[in-house]
Amino acid sequence: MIPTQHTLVIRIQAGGSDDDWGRFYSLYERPILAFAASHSLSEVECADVLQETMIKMLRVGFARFDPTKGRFTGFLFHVARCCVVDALRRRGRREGRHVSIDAAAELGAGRTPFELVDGNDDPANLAERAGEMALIFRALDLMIERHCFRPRTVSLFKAVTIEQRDPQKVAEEFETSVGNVYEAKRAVLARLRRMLQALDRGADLEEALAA
Amino acid sequence: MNSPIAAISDEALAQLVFESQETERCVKAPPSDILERVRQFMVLYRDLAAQPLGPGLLYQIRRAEEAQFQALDRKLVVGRLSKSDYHPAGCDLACDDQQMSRHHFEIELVDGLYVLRDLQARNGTFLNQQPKRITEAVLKEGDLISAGSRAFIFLGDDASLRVGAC
Repeated sequence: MIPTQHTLVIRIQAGGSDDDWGRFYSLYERPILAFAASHSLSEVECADVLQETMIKMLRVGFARFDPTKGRFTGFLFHVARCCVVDALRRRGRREGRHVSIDAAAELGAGRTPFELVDGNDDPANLAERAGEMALIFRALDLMIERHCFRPRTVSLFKAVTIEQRDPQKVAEEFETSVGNVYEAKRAVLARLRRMLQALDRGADLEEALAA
Repeated sequence: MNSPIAAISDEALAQLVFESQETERCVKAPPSDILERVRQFMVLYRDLAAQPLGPGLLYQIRRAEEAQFQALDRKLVVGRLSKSDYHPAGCDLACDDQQMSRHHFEIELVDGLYVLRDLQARNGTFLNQQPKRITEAVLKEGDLISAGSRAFIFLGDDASLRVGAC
């Protein structure tokens, strides 16, 4: 569900401004890194994949993307996957062994350092999943950074959602009621949901935050 | 999150939030120079009269001058010495730069990968503004090669963008 701003893609296909490119980079930077990391690439290799994917998209990717043939994210992550394969082949050379394109593709498939997709290592699904995770993370991060909630609400939310602690114990620790703990969780999730819905409709992160 | 966001429960959304944090823990921030390299590429590439599809080097003769592209077949030698009848072993791409060696670096296609080699140049060849001079390195799309006072952006083969290529 990585929302691709349709108008952004159209603008970039028509040449695009520096600002358009900046938005594109900022939207897909972490999803591409997460996708690369899901193929057991090192930190440096992930950065290589990001650079290569961005340049390939700028060079020919946008010109070749045909919206009648599929979704933009599918196309983008197909390019990213090719870059992952290239990164694995470069690794092969560094390690003094020849890695064919087919072997590299096989080597990269399904080797995940963390469970992105339950028992499903289809590259397209992995890409989508990695992208979704990165987007949810960024949306939440932005909400917190912009002080959309009081620090106490954020702490309660993090304790029960991210640290997955028992709400009763969290309530005792914060000297509040369990009801307040659930209310904090509900409030943050409701705002996050509105933001994700806005992103899904094509808003960028800033616009979605205001939704 | 294949279902619309409106259709999933609070608990399912909370689980996605949890997973997103776990996933992000494995993703390290990329070096900030990547965005800079992408921007640099964009400026020069847009400046070209015709956008090339094959591999090669993107460069400017002097700052504020038009961008140039030197296509690369299997091998490309770059340096100060130009190829001529007197110097048949001159460079494929000759640069009028006193800080470059006569034969400064070469790029060769080896097993489908483009390999950059320093040709024992006096002032060295550098990759992506790293302080350590290189002797050999496998190139990737958008890599910045510095030689003498010149900078070159490497562009690879676009074949991998063809559907089903990998």
